Amino acid sequence: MLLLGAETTNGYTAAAAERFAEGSHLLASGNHGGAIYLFGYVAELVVKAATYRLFGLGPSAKVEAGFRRSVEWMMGRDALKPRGPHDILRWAEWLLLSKPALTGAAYPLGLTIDFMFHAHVIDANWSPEMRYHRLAVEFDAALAVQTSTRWVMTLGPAF
Amino acid sequence: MPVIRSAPPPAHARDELVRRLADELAAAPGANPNGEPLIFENPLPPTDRLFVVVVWSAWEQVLWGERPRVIADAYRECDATHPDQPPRTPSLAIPTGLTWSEADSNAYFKFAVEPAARAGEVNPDEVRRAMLDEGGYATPSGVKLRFMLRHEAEVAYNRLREKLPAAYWGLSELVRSRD
Repeated sequence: MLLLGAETTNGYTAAAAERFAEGSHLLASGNHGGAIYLFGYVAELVVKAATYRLFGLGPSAKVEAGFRRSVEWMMGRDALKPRGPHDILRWAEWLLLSKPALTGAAYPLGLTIDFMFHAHVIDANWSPEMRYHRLAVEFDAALAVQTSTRWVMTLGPAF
Repeated sequence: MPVIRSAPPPAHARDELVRRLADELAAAPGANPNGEPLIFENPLPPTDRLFVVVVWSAWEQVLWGERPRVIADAYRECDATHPDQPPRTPSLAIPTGLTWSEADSNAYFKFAVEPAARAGEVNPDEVRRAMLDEGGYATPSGVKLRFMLRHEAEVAYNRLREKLPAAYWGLSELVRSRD
C-alpha cells in the first residue's frame, strides 16, 4: 500500500528534482513524450512551491487544502495572462504580481521577462492531458521544455 | 497532442512593434486618444515600480512569452531617444501584453458599450464616429468602447442612446471566461 506523507513545499522541490532527473533519463533514451510530460509537472511543482512560500508557508509546513484554495482564488482574481493547460502561465504571472505586494520589492525586470518566456515555452508544449495520449514529440520540443524547466528550477523566482 | 513550437516574430516586425510602442510612450498623454496601443502603468505598492499592461491588436502576431521583451525594449528605446527626460525603464517591474480578446476574456475592462443594430438599420460610419467620440479605440476588428468603471460606461451609454438611438446600444458587464 502506498503511503504518502504530508505535502510540503520542501517535498514539492525534492519531488521536482527527482522527476527532473527521471525526465532527463527518458529524454536521453529517446522517450521524448514521457520526458516532456514529467518536465511540465516539474515546472508546476517549482512555481507552486515558490508561490506558497511567498505567501508565508514555511518549507516544512503542510500545504493544507484550504490554504491552496485561498491562493488559487486570489490568483483567479488577479492574474491576466491567457488561459493555458494547468495554467503555468497564470501561476507565473501571479507569482510575479504578488511579490511586490507581499515583500515590498519586485523581482528584477530581467528575471521577470525570462521567467515569463520560459513559462510560455513550457505552456506551449505541455499539458496534463498528455497522459491520456500516445505522444510523438520531437526531440527539439522536449529539449526546449527541459531547458526552460531547468531554468525555472535553478534561476527562476524563489522565495 | 500537437507540438506548438514557440517562435519570435521576424526581426523587422519586432523592431517595428518596439518603435511604435516607444513612440506611444514618448507621446504626450492623450495625444492619440482613439489609437492603439493602450498602455496602463499600474503602481505596485508599496514599491515605486509599475505593472505595465499593454493592450494591442498587434500582439496577435507575438507569443505571450515574447511580449514582455518587446515592451521592455520599447521602454529602453524611449529612454535612449529622450535623454532629457527621467528614465522610465527602472520603474518597469512586470510588463504584460494582452490582445483585445485576451483583455475581454480576463475582464480587464469590466464594461463594454456596443451597438446591437442589424445590418442596414444604421449607418456604420455614424456608429464608428459616435463610439470614437465617446473614447473608443480604433482596432483592426472595429472600434472597442471599454471602461473599467460602471459609472463611466453608463455615462457613455446614455449619451449614445440619445445621440444615435437607431444603433440599439447595449451595456454589458464582462466576466472572466476562463474561471
